[in-house]
Amino acid sequence: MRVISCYSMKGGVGKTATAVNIAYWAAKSGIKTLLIDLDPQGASSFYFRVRPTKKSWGSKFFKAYKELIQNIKASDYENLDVIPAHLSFRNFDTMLGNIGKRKSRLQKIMKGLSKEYKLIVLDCPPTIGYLAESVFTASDLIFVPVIPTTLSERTYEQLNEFFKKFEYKRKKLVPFFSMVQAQKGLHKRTMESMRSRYKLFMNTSIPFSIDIENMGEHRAPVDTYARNKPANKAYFTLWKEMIPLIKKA
Amino acid sequence: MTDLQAKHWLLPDNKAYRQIENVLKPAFALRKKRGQKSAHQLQDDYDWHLWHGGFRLIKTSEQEYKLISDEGLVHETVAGNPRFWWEFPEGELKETLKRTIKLRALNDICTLDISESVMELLDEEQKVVVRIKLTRVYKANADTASHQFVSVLPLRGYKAEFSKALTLCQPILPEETTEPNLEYLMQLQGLEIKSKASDTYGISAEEPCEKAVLQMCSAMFAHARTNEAGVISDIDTEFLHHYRVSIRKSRSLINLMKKAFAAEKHLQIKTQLAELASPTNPLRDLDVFLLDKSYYQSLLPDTYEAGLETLFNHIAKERQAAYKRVCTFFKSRAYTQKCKKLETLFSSEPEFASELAKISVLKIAKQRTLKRYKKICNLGNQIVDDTPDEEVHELRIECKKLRYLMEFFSELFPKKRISALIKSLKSLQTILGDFNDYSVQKEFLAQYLSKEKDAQVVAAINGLVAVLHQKQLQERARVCTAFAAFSEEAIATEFQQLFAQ
Repeated sequence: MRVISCYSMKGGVGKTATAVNIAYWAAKSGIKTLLIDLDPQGASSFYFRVRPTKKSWGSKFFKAYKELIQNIKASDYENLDVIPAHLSFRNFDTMLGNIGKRKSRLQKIMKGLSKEYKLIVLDCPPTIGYLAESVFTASDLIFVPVIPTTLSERTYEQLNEFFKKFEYKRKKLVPFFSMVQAQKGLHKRTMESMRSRYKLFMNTSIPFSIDIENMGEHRAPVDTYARNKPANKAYFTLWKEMIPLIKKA
Repeated sequence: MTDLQAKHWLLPDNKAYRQIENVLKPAFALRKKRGQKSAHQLQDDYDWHLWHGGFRLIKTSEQEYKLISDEGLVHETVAGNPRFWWEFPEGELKETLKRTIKLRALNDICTLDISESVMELLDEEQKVVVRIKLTRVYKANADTASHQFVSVLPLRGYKAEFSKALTLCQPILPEETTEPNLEYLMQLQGLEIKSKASDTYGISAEEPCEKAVLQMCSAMFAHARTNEAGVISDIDTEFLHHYRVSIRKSRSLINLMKKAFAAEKHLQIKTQLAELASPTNPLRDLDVFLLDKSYYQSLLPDTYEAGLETLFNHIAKERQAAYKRVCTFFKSRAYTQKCKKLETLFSSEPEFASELAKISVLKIAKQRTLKRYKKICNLGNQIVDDTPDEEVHELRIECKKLRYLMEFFSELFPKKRISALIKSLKSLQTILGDFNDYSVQKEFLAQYLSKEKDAQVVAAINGLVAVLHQKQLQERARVCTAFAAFSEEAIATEFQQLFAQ
């Protein structure tokens, strides 16, 4: 089993869209996949039309594996299950703050899932607290969407600094450009300079696209309603590029 | 792991599915996906290795291959009509085929026309919560389905919805049935599953030796003959290989049990069998060489590639000629007569015309096995690193005889113990076998030195011979250690315990 996460400390960069579409392609390639929506806003759950259970179970998330299993829901797609977010997930940082071995908690609780799943995709909230740290520990790879703008560049630098300072493996960080508008000079320049500084950048970038924005309306992965559009092809290519990286990790 | 189990029904008529829809409509929003009728071709090799290995390989009309097993589903779209594992693109499917069917070719076992339509039950978010699947099976070229199944399929985490759908459907449905999986559907169409090849002969310990051996020979010979059609159709090289192995085994058995027969009968059987096998020798030699093409390519640097390719082209041509000769032989009257004669010899009543003919087969088998084992120990103990090759070859032949003896009569001994002994012999045989293969390959190539004129081809042959010679020397160096392992105390004790009278 491999664990990958879509993470950025900045909001609105395309984390959820990536998590949803990548999980979809993984499942479609025959890989038994589980998407865990860790973001209390529950956007990826919304995209898959999966409602959370009414019971507020967030307080048990890191304690009982049984509880985790009971909250798994099948998506509409073969090989793809979802653990939907619950508003109570907003307390994760505080909860982790009060327990020991907090960095490895998430990793530990997910161990049992390897019996059923080959790939776990974590959709993360845009924070850099205890939850984020346990995501860093639990993930084999962390895919970071970066909008090629000055602010996003700065955020990515900060993430790198954070990894360095707290001794997380920087090799785990795999950035890729997201919401790219090729006609913008700033985007072009930022991409060039960042690619030369960070060798690990993926070749594929995700364009800024109305088809991705429309996910909210369709509540489904892009492939199901915009099959031949560039955005869909970009996610598919991104997934193809991820496969060898995930295998190697 | 969902604790909810799908449920299935065989529908009595065309109306039933409509009725199901009607009872579900008030409770769920429905989304219907009509399936197209498509051909599902079950593919496997002649021995059904995939099937018996727990795999089902389905080729659909859209060139899509589906490999189904307990491990899950592997999908692959492959153009053309690949038959051997090496003709498939890299991936899990190829790996599984390589492991399971080896040198065998894939065949169409049967074709089922199936259509699958799905009715999705949705909640208020338009999320699928239960699936109702309609499976229709058609007889070949028929327009109306011969059988229709409906399945109610649960989705993980939607238990209440599943129960609700069942409560609504169950009153209007007949008795539940099992899942309409491939076995079931094939059975409905009257197709039989080929059973796994057996390696026993149904002999008993107290049977008189002559009778048992004749019975075994008869089975081996019948098995050999089942391969003739496959050889003639040139489906894969395994048919000829199995044909020859069966003939060789029966010859070996007759010779090992020589004294169970009157001298004349023994000679007759022996000669007839040899006459069947020898005309197929050239074809098998050529097949073996061609099968190892990529191996030979890997032995030489790229500069030899062109020469090697020409050599392989020549050999492939020669192989076609040899194949035609075998076909002519198999179809000839002389061949049919020889076979008839052998079949009569094997099925005739025992004559009991020799001193051992009436003695129990177990007793003779034990005696022969132990004697062979002791002979091998004597031979092997004399072999040192510079013993001439002939003696190593002799050891190999004796080991082969011992292996045959143990395998032929294995059903008369405790399974685990005899298998363990065979296994210990196998490791020694692998080394002796490889050592022999290198000299066979060298000789095979050397015959082409006089035939080939092209300098590049000659260079390739010389290159290969040199490499093979080195490999043979390396293998030779391992013989003494391998023999020492086989002749150890524990194995000797086990031979005594199993085979001493």
